[in-house]
Amino acid sequence: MNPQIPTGRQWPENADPLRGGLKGRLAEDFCVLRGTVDALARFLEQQAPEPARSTGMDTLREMTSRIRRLERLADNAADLALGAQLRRLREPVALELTEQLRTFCACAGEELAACGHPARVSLQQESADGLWVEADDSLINNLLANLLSNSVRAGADEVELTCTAQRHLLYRDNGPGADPAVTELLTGGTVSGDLLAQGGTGLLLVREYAAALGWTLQPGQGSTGFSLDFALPQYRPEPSHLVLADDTNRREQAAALCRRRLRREFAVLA
Amino acid sequence: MPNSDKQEWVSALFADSDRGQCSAVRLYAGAQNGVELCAAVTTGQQVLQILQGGLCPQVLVVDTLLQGPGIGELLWRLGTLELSRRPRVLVTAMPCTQQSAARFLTMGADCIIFKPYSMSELFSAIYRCGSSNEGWDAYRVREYLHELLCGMHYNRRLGGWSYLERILLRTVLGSQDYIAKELYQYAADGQHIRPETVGSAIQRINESLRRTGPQGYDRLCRTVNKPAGSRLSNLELIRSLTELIRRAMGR
Repeated sequence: MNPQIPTGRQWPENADPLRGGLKGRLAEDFCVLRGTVDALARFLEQQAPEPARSTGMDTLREMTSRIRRLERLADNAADLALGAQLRRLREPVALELTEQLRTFCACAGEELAACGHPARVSLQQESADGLWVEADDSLINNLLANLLSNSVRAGADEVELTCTAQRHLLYRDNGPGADPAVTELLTGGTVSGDLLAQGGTGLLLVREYAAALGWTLQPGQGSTGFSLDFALPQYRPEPSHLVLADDTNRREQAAALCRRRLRREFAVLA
Repeated sequence: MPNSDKQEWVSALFADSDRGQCSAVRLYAGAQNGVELCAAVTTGQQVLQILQGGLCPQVLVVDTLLQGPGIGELLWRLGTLELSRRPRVLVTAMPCTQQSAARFLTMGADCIIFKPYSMSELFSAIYRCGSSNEGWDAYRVREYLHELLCGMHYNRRLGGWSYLERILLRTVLGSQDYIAKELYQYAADGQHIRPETVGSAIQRINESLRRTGPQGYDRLCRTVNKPAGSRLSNLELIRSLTELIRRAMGR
């Protein structure tokens, strides 16, 4: 557990199903909503005469983008509402972080390009050795996706992730840099009125995700843009994790999940 | 070159406890090409009845929360049924851990798609599960073309779409070396029409796209290194669409 970020919130044992149930119900309902809108759009597009067709299509397009926005908001809200629960959410698995980050950068680059954004995401690795952590890959994706969409919205077009030899992960962008209120929120957990007025839940979530991963978070030093420094806990993988196995399927699955997460995050940028 | 673009169809049986999702799937299935939906049912029992009745879809889509019987028992009983061929199983699931996903795969699922999915994601996944590699490539060309033209508000009812589709299937998946006349001839082969008819249909699409989707049309212009706002020839239109679809497919 991250000692620097106490939460003071206790959840009863049965909160896991509560969160799972909440997110599950949301996903189920959004799936039906989106499916219905998709189906109506496809149907209108092929069968309806003008001008009902174009008016209808425009309305459905607007609905789709609103559903996407709601979906992201609902998901963030569920994570935030039951944030402390994230810590016990899933069984962490041993994973090689640089590999995970490489996938993330590749997916992020493609997804940003797909929504016409010029931002570039790159990975620097200070040591050639792998960086093993015991973590949940979806939490890492959530954390980075939130940071990335914040950076892009702030106007950054270059984001760099660095894995250091001392088990640190540095996140750096070339945007205008962090507001003091943001730094305060990330380190101390205090939310200022200004920040609340902007309505973002993203950074609060970043803090929750970092805490759930057991990563210590500090504002980065000496760079112009926004930067964060995550200290990763010590971990030595079991020798059995290092066995080479054909995990192409698993990787494809993981990349697909990462892409889906990013797509949802970037839907708000479009 | 023979005009060999007969479309491959994939038959599917869809099972999800949510009635709303079943109706959405039925509606969408009626308006797309590629997946033939045998039925969309809400219980495991209905799935078994249909399979026992002798209908044998290429792909069986099962939701993890399906009731009566649930997915575990359904997959087990699927193994005990005497079927002419075993359908490929696509599981739709809530986002879950790698371990749970792995569990579905060991239970007999062939692939997994996570909720909330869009209909085009679902139908692409079904098609990919049941089609050959060539069929899948052709499907993607059709879907990307659909996406591009719809983005430019093209009205499918104006016609000419199938000629353009046939031409692009060849230019995207085949050789890049072609002239317009040859392509028109190719699209007209076996259709009892003259190549000039294809040419004028493509010309109509060209004009219509320029009018209804100026932004998308500018993008098409830039793709073939022409300044935004110019008018593309038919061959340039085909080249730029080919290029955009190839890019989207990562070819």
